[in-house]
Amino acid sequence: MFAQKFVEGLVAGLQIGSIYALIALGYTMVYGIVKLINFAHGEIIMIGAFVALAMSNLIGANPFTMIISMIASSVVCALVAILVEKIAYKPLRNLKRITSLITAIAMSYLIQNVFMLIEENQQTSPSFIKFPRVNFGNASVDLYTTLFTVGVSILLMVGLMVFVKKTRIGKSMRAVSENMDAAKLMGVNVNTTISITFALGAVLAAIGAYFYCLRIPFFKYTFGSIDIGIKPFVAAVVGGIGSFPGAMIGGYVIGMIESLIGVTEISKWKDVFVFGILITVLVVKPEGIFGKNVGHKV
Amino acid sequence: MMNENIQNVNVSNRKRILKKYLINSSVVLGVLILLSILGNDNPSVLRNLIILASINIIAAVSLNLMSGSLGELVLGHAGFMLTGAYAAGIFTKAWQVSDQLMIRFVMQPAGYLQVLLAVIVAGLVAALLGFLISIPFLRLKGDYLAIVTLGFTLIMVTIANNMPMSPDSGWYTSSSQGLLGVQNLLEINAFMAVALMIICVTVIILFITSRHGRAILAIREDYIAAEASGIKVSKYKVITFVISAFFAGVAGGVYAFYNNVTPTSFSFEKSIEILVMVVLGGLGSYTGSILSAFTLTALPIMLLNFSRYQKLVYAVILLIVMLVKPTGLFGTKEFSWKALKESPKSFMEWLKALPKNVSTGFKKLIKRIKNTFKKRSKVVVKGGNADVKK
Amino acid sequence: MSKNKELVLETKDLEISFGGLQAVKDLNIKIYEKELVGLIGPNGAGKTTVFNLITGVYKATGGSIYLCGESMLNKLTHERVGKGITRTFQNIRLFKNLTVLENVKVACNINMKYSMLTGILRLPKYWKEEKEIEIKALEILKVFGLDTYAEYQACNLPYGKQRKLEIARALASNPKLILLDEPAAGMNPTETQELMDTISIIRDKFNVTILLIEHDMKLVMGICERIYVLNYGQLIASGTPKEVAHNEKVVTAYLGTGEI
Repeated sequence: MFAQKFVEGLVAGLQIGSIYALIALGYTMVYGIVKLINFAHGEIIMIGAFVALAMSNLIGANPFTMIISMIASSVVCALVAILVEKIAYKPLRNLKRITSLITAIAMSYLIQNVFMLIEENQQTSPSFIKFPRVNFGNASVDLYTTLFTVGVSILLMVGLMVFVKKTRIGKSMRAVSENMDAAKLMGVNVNTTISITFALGAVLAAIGAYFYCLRIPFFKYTFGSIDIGIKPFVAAVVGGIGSFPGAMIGGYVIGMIESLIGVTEISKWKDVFVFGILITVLVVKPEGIFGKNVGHKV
Repeated sequence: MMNENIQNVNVSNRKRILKKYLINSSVVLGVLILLSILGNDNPSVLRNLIILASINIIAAVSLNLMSGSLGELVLGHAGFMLTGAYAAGIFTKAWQVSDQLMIRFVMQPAGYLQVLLAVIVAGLVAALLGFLISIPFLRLKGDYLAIVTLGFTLIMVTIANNMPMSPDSGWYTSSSQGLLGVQNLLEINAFMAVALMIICVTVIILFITSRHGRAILAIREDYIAAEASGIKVSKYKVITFVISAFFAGVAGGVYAFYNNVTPTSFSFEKSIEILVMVVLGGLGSYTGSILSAFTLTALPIMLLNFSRYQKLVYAVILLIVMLVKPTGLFGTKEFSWKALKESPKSFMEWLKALPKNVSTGFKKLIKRIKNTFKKRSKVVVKGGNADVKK
Repeated sequence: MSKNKELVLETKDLEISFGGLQAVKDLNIKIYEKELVGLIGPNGAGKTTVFNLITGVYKATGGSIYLCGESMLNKLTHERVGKGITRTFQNIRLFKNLTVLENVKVACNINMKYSMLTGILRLPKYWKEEKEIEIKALEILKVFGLDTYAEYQACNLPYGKQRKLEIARALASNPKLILLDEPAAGMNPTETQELMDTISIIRDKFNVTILLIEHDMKLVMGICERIYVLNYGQLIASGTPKEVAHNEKVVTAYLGTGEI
């Protein structure tokens, strides 16, 4: 019994961990470059799920349409992210941090409520792609879904790391996150770089949302905040906000813990565990597991 | 029209001070009487408005203490309100059951006392919780503090959701249904709500105009310089946090006597609602917090078909205020009688300058829209104080 | 030189390292009552670091520091202020949105005694103490010619006056020792001369001991009675202005060893 639960939790944990890792990367990338917690990122995820379901209802579900759906979702999310940045974040770049923070919260709230007016109730897509389940003894797991998710996720994450390290744009991203003014003076187009960063984060989030729909194809306007927005955020912070490895590892850690507790008796307390970890990490090591402690001169 | 900072106490003239206190007190008393009379019928829209506005004003003013005066953005206010609501409710229910008292209406003196007591208990419980979490939390800066207080609110909601069920357990709650029907035992009236609100606001304002308040403002301005001027920053941060939590608890406690309390009554959304009120009024301005809390409570009630769009409008208002005037409507300024006297004159000046101001404002807006889509932005290399960007 | 005067500040082998970098080492300085001492050295020598060590912003990794014989080593910054050490900053750190008067009143806080409850209930002690510091703060501002600016917001003052306000604020808590970090930075010769006069006045009027960091040699040589010279975190010379000016090591530190 225990073994069965454990296996189920483990597999589910890997899948949700991958999703959290992808989304957490979005948070961390944006924070790294503009030192802003993009509260609206959760809403990007919601939009990703929305588009995925809409596409599925539109063009059906087979491997070919899956690729198209993912691309469509990514494009829409990237555009929204860039728009949000230009309207709400860019004008306030030089002001006090608290202003940008409040604006990010406002933006998140705004998008959420726009979608609330569009689709107040939960939406599902019965024809959404569903991989077959597999049995290990008594345990029934979504093996293929998980393998697919984990596989693609790792590919994407590796791709991102290579991109940031090797390409010129990647170097610009790193430069801007180190010192924006110096990067400007060196000829880096800061605005474009920031936009690209937001877009990349959004694409990862869109794909993550798609993977989430593979598990449970549903959409609700609170998707971005309650259901899935907040846990990857916790993951990013726990791993060290601003750190790529931190976001990835944090995602898997939080995903595993949530899943494994979710299959036990105390499953209804799993949120408390997750937030408890957040608070513990912040209190003990605020920079997160992989974060750097940056002091400042007096 | 308003141009005096809250710290300006003219101590050198005793008679003038006495006269000022007398005028202020009578105005406040007048407001109390007026609102109590207006809110007398039950049920009535006006009564609900006045009570709800009082609750929100207490919440906004206490959040302003933390985020406006101290300058620390916290998203945990709703968590303390929830704590206060539950504390007040459980306290009252426990007392009712044990004493076999069934006081239905607050009109009787004993009822007033009971509400007062419950509300104080609510505040104290919230304050204690605030104290416990302040010690680890307040070491964190800016973003991290916001995140961690957000986590706190979410944990509180989860705990409330999972609280034990039947009255036998001793908690008088029923899990996700929440704490029901406290207001059926003991219902608050407009007078009590307004009176409590006035007391809370007065205490907070008296606090912020004392030497401790000055220290808190200094910490907001520059905590390093504050420490170097002899202010124990950590102590004052804890004090502010605890006081803010206390009054948030009081606000929640009052709510318990007004309506059903469910775990989702006071979640992240509530924190945002109150934050919008404070930011709109101007972070740091208590006048602003009071006026905007009242307005934002009244608006959805008065525009009945508004409610579906209420949250959307909240978000849009917040966004616009942040983009156009980040310091809020009042900035950090407060109301003052002197400014009011001068107002006709300055109003005329403001009126004369209006056309020019509007056109300048428009030009700025257009420029900003153009800038948004421009490829290159200006290089602004700052020297001096650029290192510590708060 | 220091005839039986009380030792106000003494550091013994004070040092601090950040990671592997030794920022300050073997710092041994003595400052006596009512002295006006200068701390000079090339950029990056560690002068502000020394100030941070003395005021407690940095925790020393070795050595000791005494104020009037009392060890300051484990005391936090605000505690040291209570004991009598205050400072100004290289980059002005005023309370920008508070008025000039409030800036000074804030610094008076440490010597005020009324409790929070007293403040809220406005008991007599509140009125008494508030009146006292109002008078005191205005008096201090008057010395600097800032009393007419009392109700101005600090950020609206011209630069020179802002610097003066910072010094005024540092004096409000009746310190024994005041550290001035480049008080003349950004000033023209007239303002600098005015500052020199002001510093001498406050030393006598407020009975304080002054240690200052400066790059403006005219000011340093003009008013300092003694000078310590720091380079790469270590003292390379000390003495009267004349002695220091002719010290070979000092000249080398500033000008290098090239033949002219």
